[in-house]
Amino acid sequence: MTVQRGVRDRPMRLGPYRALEHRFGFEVSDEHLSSWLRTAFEPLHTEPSKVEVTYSIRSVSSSRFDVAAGGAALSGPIPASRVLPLLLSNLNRAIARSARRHLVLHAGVVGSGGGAVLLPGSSGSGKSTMVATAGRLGHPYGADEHAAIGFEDGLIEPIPKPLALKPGSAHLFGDLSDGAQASFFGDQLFLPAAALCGGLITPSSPIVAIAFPAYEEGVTATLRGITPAEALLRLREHSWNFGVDPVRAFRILSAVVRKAPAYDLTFADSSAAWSVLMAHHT
Amino acid sequence: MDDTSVRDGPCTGTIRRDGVVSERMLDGATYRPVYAGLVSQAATVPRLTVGVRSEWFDDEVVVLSVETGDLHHLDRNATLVWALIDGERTVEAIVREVAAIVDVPLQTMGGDVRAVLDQLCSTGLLVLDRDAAP
Repeated sequence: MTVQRGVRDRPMRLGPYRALEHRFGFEVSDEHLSSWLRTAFEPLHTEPSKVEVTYSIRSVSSSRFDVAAGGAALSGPIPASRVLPLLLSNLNRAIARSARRHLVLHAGVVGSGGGAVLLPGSSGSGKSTMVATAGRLGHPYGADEHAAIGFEDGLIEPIPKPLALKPGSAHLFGDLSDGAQASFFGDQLFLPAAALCGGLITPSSPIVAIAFPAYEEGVTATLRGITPAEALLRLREHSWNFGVDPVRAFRILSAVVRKAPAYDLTFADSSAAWSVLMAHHT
Repeated sequence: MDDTSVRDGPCTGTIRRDGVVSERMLDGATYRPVYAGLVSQAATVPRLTVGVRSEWFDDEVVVLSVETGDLHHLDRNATLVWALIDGERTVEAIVREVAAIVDVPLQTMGGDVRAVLDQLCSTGLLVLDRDAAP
């Protein structure tokens, strides 16, 4: 799908949505984009409540859009292909900043055996590819960019935002874009939770395994166990808000690594990597 | 007090006669005490900096510096030293006990233990208190 012009005089309002403590909505003047956002953010729809930030996307010419958050411009007029990446990156930051009751890690989350597998990783590690692969194999989807761990109970709060795949791996999931739900914006592929096959993870899922993905061209998928101490240090590196309350964050991450085995997962083929992880884990 | 002004890299400070260095970062924003000389004094008593937290995982320890939010992963030797820091044992007592545990001559062990204590001090996890020595 590409964003086609179907501009309305009055923008459509979507929401309210909630991810952690961030309550937000959209105002969109383009009908196709509006329709896509409505589907993609449906899992985050929440009861009527005050919206903290409205993200507005308005057509300013035949091919360019203004994007703003709470009335403040996020950019000058940009082409359609850049709208969603810009919107999601700002949304990601706002969600992480909103966290009061959760430690937020830069990690994907996938369901397995009634629990949640954490896939912490920086950009380019293959984290989103692993999440999408697991989703296509029927594992429940938890999150792409943010793993939210409750400070009090150590359990996972799902944040089922649309999943963003970079050009390097987007082609692997091109079949999913045949449906109306998955969409290419520029060379990135965006997958709503509904485009994946496994549904959503149960709220308050326990963490049952931690795998640090590392994409490496040409390698065979391998899994190497790491110690809880090493896992703790690496999780801290991937945290968005550890420093806000380091004592609580330290305590909860320590509890997590005591219970959940942690691994380095090096791979080139994400399906093989997932098989190796599941074979070992189960 | 006979003090000596020093300048070392990005830091400037004053060494007091008791070996304590009051260090001032040149950006003027950060002050932190460091300790020179105290570790080499056998009667010095190391103790944990207020607010420091640690978690044990089998024979490994991860320590949180609440002030900076940094985590420190202690290796086996450092963990052994860490386990003996109770605010009462002196540097000398710690050296003696570590040497006995790992079965290494006291003189050899002394340098290693003091190096660990130095490092723990410089990262702000320990303070050294000569006055607290029995």
